[in-house]
Amino acid sequence: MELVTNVPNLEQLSKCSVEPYDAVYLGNPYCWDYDGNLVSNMDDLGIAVEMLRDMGKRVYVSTFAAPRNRDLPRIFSLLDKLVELEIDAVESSNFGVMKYIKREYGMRVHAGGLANIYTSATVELLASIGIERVTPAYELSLREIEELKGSVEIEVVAHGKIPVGISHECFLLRFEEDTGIRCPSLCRREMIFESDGLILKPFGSVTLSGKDVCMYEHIEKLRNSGVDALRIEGISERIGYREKIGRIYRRRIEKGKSDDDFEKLKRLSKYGLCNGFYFNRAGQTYTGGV
Amino acid sequence: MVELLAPGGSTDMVRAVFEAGANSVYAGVKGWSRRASRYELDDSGIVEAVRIAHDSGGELRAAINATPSSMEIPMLMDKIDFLYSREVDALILNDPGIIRLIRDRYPDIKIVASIGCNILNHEEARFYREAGADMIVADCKLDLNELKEIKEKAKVGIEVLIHANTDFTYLGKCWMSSYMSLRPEKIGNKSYYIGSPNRGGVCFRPCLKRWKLKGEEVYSEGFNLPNDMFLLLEEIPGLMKVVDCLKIQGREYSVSLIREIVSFYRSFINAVESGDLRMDFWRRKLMKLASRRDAERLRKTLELMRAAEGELLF
Repeated sequence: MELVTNVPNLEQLSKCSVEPYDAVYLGNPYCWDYDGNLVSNMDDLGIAVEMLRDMGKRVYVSTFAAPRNRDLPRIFSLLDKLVELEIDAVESSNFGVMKYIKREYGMRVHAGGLANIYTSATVELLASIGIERVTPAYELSLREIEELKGSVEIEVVAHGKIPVGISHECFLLRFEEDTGIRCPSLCRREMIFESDGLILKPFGSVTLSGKDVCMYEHIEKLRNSGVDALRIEGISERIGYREKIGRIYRRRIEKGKSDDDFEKLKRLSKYGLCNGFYFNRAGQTYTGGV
Repeated sequence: MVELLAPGGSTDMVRAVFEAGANSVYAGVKGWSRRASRYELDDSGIVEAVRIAHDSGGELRAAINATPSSMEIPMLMDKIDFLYSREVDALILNDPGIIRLIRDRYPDIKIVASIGCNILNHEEARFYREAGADMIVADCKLDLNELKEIKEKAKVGIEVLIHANTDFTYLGKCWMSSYMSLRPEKIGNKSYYIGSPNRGGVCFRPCLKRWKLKGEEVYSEGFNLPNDMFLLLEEIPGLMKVVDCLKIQGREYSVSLIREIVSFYRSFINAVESGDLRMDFWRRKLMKLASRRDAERLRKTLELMRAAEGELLF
């Protein structure tokens, strides 16, 4: 199985090793204005691609996840650059953009988790237009993911915060005055929404789970469900998170389970672990090693 | 002429909205739509709703817009066969793959891509048209210029909501409720998930809880994440020049309230068409309806929050 992660800007790519990974998604798909966002800074993007190539990694680029009409020219212009850079795949969570990429550029396309891919019928439709990989809707159980395998590769989040909603605005911007912190520094601070023990993490236009989805105990189940790629979701995390988590999952894939590593994962997850929806339970539940 | 589409949360509501001036009605197929099952119609209810709609010279759209599991697609297709045989006029669907399957099977039925598809741009609208949709429901956050551009470039029918809510998130792209609490249940062999609006259950409206923003300290507390109901008015004359259908949401409200809302909008559309643009007059009338609606909604929100608390799995 491929181990992948995401890196939003050059600063994070430079200060954190991505050595445990086979491939890296570049760019923050939730806010064009994120500090140093690689999909908004073409010079930085070129440097990042070159760095990853030198490391022997496959290079993917994530496009803006919820594009309105006004975002399309910007995405199309980015695509021109991606062709020039000969990247390995483009990720999009918008069906219209996916089809446009296939029609106009023929590049390899990965359908992102926010595309809402729930059924084998949609997977077959996407395969028919040439989409090579999908991340199923986060709400699907392992049993349902298994039904999707066949015509395309399947990628899932193995560890990290999953999106629980995407919006037209960055809600954090409403709190610049309360916090005394301005954009673009605001979302780079540790900020959470909390209510009666429920924790969510706002991050640009996306709201992420407070807890980290953790499938460390269940890698074999993911493999048996037809999963081809495991994603460590680190887009909103501090520098260093994706390296530490990546090393643990690399050992897990190659050498099997380790109690010490699992304890480390617990310590690295500030608001606790959960299993997302893989076991047909509320997303914030951790079911244990069932 | 723009179509006025109204909710049919029961056969009584179906009858009431046609009496109040709706052109068409939508009803959820039990176990398969984005609302609690008590606001959906079983097979006999759908057949009755079709009869009422056709007797009124209108259309019945069947909402099958909760996304099923892949394993349930054969069951879904059986349901579609039944609906088609009973002369349902249109289907409201959420999943592009299922839209394609149904379009291939029934080339002549009208297909509407649901609000849950969260269609945000003209390329995406084109994708749904090419998959088989005749009409798309535009996200509530799109403005008139965006709608115009979608209409021109995607060449697809557009439906907009004139009584609905704008959530904190895009509709169809929110899993906060099921992240908080989820209760899988069944109607017959059909699974549905209380807590997941995309999968046929209710939303527990976690956005309306009292939230704190915390970092190194508590920066703000006691706020809701935005979830605002709206009743459009001033926007409608402009929309009538661009879109094909104005939709009133509200299967879960009382029949009397929905009858009044439909009656209001029918009168207003007629007035706009005849050049009567006394907006202050219409605004005052609408405000009275809005306070009745708000009181009903508050009761339902409190009910949902209590339901969620019973299931929290911290």
